[in-house]
This record gives sequence, C-alpha cells and structure tokens, in this order.
Amino acid sequence: MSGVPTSIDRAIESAIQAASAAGLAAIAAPGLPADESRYVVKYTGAKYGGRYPPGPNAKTSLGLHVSPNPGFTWGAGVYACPVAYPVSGAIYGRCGIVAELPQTAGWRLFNATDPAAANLYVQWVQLQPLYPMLTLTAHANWANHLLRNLFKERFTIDLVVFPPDEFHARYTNRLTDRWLAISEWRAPGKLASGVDATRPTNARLTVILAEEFEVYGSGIRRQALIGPTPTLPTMIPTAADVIAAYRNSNLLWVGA
Amino acid sequence: MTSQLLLARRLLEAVVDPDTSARESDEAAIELAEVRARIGVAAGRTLSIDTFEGMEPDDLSPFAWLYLLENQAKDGPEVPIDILESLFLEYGDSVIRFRLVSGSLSQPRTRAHYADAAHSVSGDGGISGLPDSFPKRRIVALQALADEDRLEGGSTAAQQALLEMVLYLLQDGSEASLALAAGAITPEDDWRRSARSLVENALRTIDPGRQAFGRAFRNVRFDGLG
Repeated sequence: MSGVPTSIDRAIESAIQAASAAGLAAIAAPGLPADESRYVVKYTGAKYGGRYPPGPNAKTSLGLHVSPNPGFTWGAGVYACPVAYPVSGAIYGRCGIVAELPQTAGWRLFNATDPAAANLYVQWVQLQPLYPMLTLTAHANWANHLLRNLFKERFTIDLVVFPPDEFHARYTNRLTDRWLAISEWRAPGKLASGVDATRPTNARLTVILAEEFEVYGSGIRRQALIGPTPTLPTMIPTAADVIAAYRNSNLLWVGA
Repeated sequence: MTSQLLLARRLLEAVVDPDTSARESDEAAIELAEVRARIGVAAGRTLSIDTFEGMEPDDLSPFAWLYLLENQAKDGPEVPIDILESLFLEYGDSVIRFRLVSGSLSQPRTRAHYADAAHSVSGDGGISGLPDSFPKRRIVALQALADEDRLEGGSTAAQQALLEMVLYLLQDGSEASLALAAGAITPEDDWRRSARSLVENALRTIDPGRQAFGRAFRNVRFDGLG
C-alpha cells in the first residue's frame, strides 16, 4: 500500500466498506432501479460525439477516456453520470455517450455526497506530510488533484460518488443528482490517467441534445445558448428511454 | 527518437495541459484515443513508444513527461533519469517534483528492481545497495552539495534538498520510497539531521514501534525513538 497511514484510516476504511456494502445503485441512484446506475452517460461536444458508434463518423470503437485534467473534481478518472440523471451532465456537450459498468460488485466505493465521509477526506488531507507544502503552491488545483489521487490510491477507491459542482439549474439538480469518478488502475494502488478506460464498456453515442451551453460567471454555472426551453421537462428522456435506446443502438433526440 | 510521440505531441499536450478546461482536455483526449485506436495501441496504453533516445527535456511540457512517466507500459522504455533530473531542477513546484519522484519509482521495471532488491539499507548504512533510480541519484548527488556547503561554512542547501526529497519519499510511502528514505538518513552526518527529525516525528505518530510502515527505518538510529 502506498501513502502514509493516519489516525483516521480506520474511519475512512469503515466509510468505504459501508458504501461498498450498500452497492453502487444505493449510493449513486438511491431508490431507483439498479440499471439506472449500471449504465452511465458522459456528454461531449458535437464535433466528437459522432466518433462513438453508432455515430456516422465513427471509424473505430473508442472507449471513454480517463481524464487527467485537474479541472475534474475527484482526481484522475472517467467522469460520467448514472443514466438515472439523464441530462445532468449535458452542460458539457450535446452528445451523450452511454456506456455500461458491467461489474461493480467488489468495487471499493467512496460516497462523497455523505458529509461525514467527505469530512473524513478533509481531515485525511491535513494529515499528509505534503499538505503544508501544497497549501503554499500557487497552483491550488494541481495540489487538490494530487491529494485526491493520493487518497484514491491509498484506499484503492474504485469509484467516487459526488454531488454536481457545475450546473445549469434546469438540467442539473445539485441536491439530488449524483456524478461519478471511476478509477482506472495501471498497477496495484496506482491510478492511470490520460488513457482509454476499460471499466465502462461499449461506449456508444445515444443522446443528442438540442442545446448548447457556455461557461458563465465563475465557471461553476452554465448558460443555455438556445434556451430557455419552456417545454424542457416534457422533452427530457427517462432513464428507461436512454437504456432502451442504448441497447437498441438508437439515437435519442432531446429537444424540439 | 520516437516519431509517434513527436507527431502526437500537440494532442498529448492538450490532454494534459492543466490550464485547459476539462472539456477541451477531454475533446483532445478523444482525438488522441482515435489515433491510438487506429494505429492499434492497446487500451490503457499511451502510445507505442520504442525509445526516448534523442528526446530532450524541453521537447515536452513537464505534464506531458509526467503523463508518460506515470503510464509506462511493462515492456516500454523508462523515461531517462537525465530528463527527470532536468525537469526536477527546472520546476520548483512541489506537485511536479513529487510526481517526478513517485512516478519514477512506479515505472514497472524500476518497481520490479526494487521489489527484487533486499528491502534493507546496505551494509555501509547508505543507499549504495539499492537499484539505480532518479531519487537515488538525487540523494547521492546531495553528498557533493553537502561537501560544497561545508567548504562555504554551512549546510543549508544540501540539508533543505534532502529534507524535501525525504518528504516526497515519505508521502509516496511505497517500499522503494521508504527504503530510499531510510538509506538517505542512515548516515549520521549533520546535514541529514533535519530529514532524520522529519522521519522521526512522522514515525512517532504513525508507527513508533517500527512494525509496519516504519519497518524500513528499523536500522536508523533516532535520538528519541527506541
């Protein structure tokens, strides 16, 4: 095991075991059918959505990508939403790429939507030898990214469930939606990043949204460029619609 | 020199650039993934890199180097130590420096060499018996810096540099890192005292009996630990 042991390791381990025992469905889409978290959706720009079959521009079968960018909240990982929240991540592009998490039994889960668990992370960070040095760097996002990677590596966390931290109020429900950061391992206890993911499988373009968004204000909010769309609530597909479209390799249009 | 790496570097840089937005980074990653898929690179791999021969440190940004360093294929070439050394000296940011140290020791071959080596400090109480690696060379080079410091009547530069390196090694916490940290603080020179105190203070709260995490330091003489 890499990293440094701390006095709260046991409490963190308990939190991971509790979340893992509850299972992905229970913490990522509480009260909803398991399929709604077994399938995930990641939105990307129109220029790139067609590269995922069954898009007409697909020349090969691409996997989702393990993002290395420090702009992502929970360190290196594949960022996606359970299809239980079908347009929660639509602020990132018009094309919804759906993929499957075929097997999450045995995964070690961390539920960052639970304030007590999130607080354990905050305490853990402050016990790290590098913490004082990292608080002095000018590049706070690099430091945060590193600390979250170290945390996930130390406790071999396969998946973090966290609340949305960027949003458009009509597409993203900050209180109830859940987003996922899925780890990809290159060696025991070592995260991969910047490579194609192997854990979410069979990524396919499934949803196309009739809206574009741009960063607004501090970057936390998004502004809809076409909207407001008064009938939006009637246009949003259900999770079952998305799953059916994905299974049948159909495209689902969201909009007028 | 690997032509694939140089041809793909604009995309690679866009993927890893910490100053691009997450969306731009992901979009560049999709293009890079398509390139990889069409030339038959296996999932989980970066690019088909045969060699880093001829590459210079400034051929790529530190983040692109870190990406290559941290995603080494088992049978791929390791990032040359000279390049790591150059990046370490050029970039003072602790995130970059830590990742250089940690990433260098997690390269598959280096990791295997350390796993094969005896997990203890060599007979001379230093690190000479440990396999070659970037952090090992840094630590060895600090002796010369300490000698220079002594001629100038102080020991600040070497002392600070060792303290920083030991901090990174402790944070990494891998067997290789702890073996190097133990080797680095075993000789009882004055200029190693700050680093030794750092480890001693950490062990006091983590593992005073040196049974688990602290096992690598069982041959180190600390003032306050039994």
